[in-house]
Amino acid sequence: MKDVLERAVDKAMELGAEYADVRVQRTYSNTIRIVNGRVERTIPSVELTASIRVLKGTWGFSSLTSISETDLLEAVDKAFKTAKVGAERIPEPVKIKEVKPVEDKVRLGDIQDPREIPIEEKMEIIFECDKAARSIDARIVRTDYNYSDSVKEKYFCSSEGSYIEEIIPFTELRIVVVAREGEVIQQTIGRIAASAGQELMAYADPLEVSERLAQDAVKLLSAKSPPSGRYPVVVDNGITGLIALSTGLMTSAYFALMPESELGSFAGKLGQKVCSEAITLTDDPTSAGMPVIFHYDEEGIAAEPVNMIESGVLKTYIHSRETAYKFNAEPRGHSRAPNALFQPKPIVSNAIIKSSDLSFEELIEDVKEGIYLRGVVGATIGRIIQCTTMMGYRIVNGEIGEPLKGATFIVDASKDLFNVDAVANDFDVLPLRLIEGDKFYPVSGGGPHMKFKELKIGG
Amino acid sequence: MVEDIASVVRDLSSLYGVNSVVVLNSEGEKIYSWHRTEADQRRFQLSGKDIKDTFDINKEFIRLAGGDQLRNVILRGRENIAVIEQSGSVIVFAFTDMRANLALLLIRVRRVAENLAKRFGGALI
Repeated sequence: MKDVLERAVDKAMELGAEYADVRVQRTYSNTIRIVNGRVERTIPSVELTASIRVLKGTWGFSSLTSISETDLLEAVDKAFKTAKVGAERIPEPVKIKEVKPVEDKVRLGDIQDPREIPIEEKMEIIFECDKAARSIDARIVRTDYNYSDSVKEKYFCSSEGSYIEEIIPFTELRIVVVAREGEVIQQTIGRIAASAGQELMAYADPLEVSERLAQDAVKLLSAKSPPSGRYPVVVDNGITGLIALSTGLMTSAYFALMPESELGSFAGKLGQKVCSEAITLTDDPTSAGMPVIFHYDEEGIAAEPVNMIESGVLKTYIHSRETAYKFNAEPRGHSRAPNALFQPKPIVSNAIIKSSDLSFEELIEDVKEGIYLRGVVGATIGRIIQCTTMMGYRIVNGEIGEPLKGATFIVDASKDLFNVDAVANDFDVLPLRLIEGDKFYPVSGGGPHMKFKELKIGG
Repeated sequence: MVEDIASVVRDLSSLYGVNSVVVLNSEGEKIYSWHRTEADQRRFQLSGKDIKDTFDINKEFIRLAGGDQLRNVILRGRENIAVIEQSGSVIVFAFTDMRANLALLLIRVRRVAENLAKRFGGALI
């Protein structure tokens, strides 16, 4: 592999490129969907994607689904021509931050490689979970299990002498349980995901998760609807994670260079207060057990955690090599792409809001009348975050009260994030998918329980 | 009864990578054991008491840590996994090598323990 990729970047340099890199990704994946105990689909697949990126005043890019030398060299020609033509039409040439070349091979760690597990074993686990959920109560009318696993073999080669191979596993199970009584329908959703192998399905205990989701769905049938209006609101770790992810996306230099875009709110705000002092936000693609892990980003730079927001102040954006040059910053390994067909750009991986030393009980003790929201059913993110939660509870005089059905709420990042009063000392993470075209970035957001002085709730 | 227990345990012993299965009653007496090969049987040195004591120590450990009821004990060596699970008056022990699908192993250990407790629970006390 290395020789072929080196010949491709060498050719780009012979043509007159200032820089070139080639990325190859081979993805082995399995998806299984089981609805109401019946297999809807099983799709085992192997996907090969590759691309060459050439810098000659601006970027030229060509992607392909082959790694034959002939095809790669042809792609180099196309990418170079694209760059040359593009460079004549831009006011300022693209420059990239210099980095030291790296040679490394990152292998699968101590995991149960999902490629070695027979499909029937994976299906048996899901069938058992499905059976467990449906046996909780006759009012469970629908169960929907979406399982997927993948192993990505990634190759990166640059004209500066970097050559990196990295193998990344990912396993995910998304569970939807629906209970119905008369006209009342209640849905609960669970997500298990990590950059891990089949062992995740043991440690995350999907059987237990299934039973709990079914119990919650049944319990919510008789719950009251939440009140509408502005209340002190405490959100659980998953909702904090959603807010962390949305805020994290806004710290991308890619969006900061597009102030008119939905995620461009942090443009020009370096060093300024962008949210409450209670919020410190980190992006960490290196932490074991998280949904997204990589040692090197799509530009071959070693990944490291970055604190973008410290005590409410925007300290740095996350960068690609190109944006790092523009902002005179360091790229720290946060360039991502759904696969090798896409150009890399700085996108958060695991956006984490830092916990405090406050217990959950201490967090709610001064709330006289408020709402505690749990679980994310659906959401749109951006400067305005709209979220539908799975369930809620009243908070009365500092104590958790009666359960409530799910609520919708809106967070306007430019105002409501200043209303965060405090965060707790716990931690959990919400695995999510950031869709681009027909592909997605696995991402996650996480953090502690978080309290808003006031938030607008819709029933 | 041994044949009936064997038929329930087959759900677990048929799983790839499982080398030994032992069923105990709540007193820690061995009611049934299965080993994949004679070599596995010869290597196996654990008594029923060893297995029960390990479970009980962990039960107490969880309690002292402030937790609730212990569901199972999972021990991971470099090359092997041991699982102990209790359901009613039945304790099931499974010993596997790393080829076993851990998630499925836990599900089947639980299923076998529950099925044995359901079918033979009273008779094993």
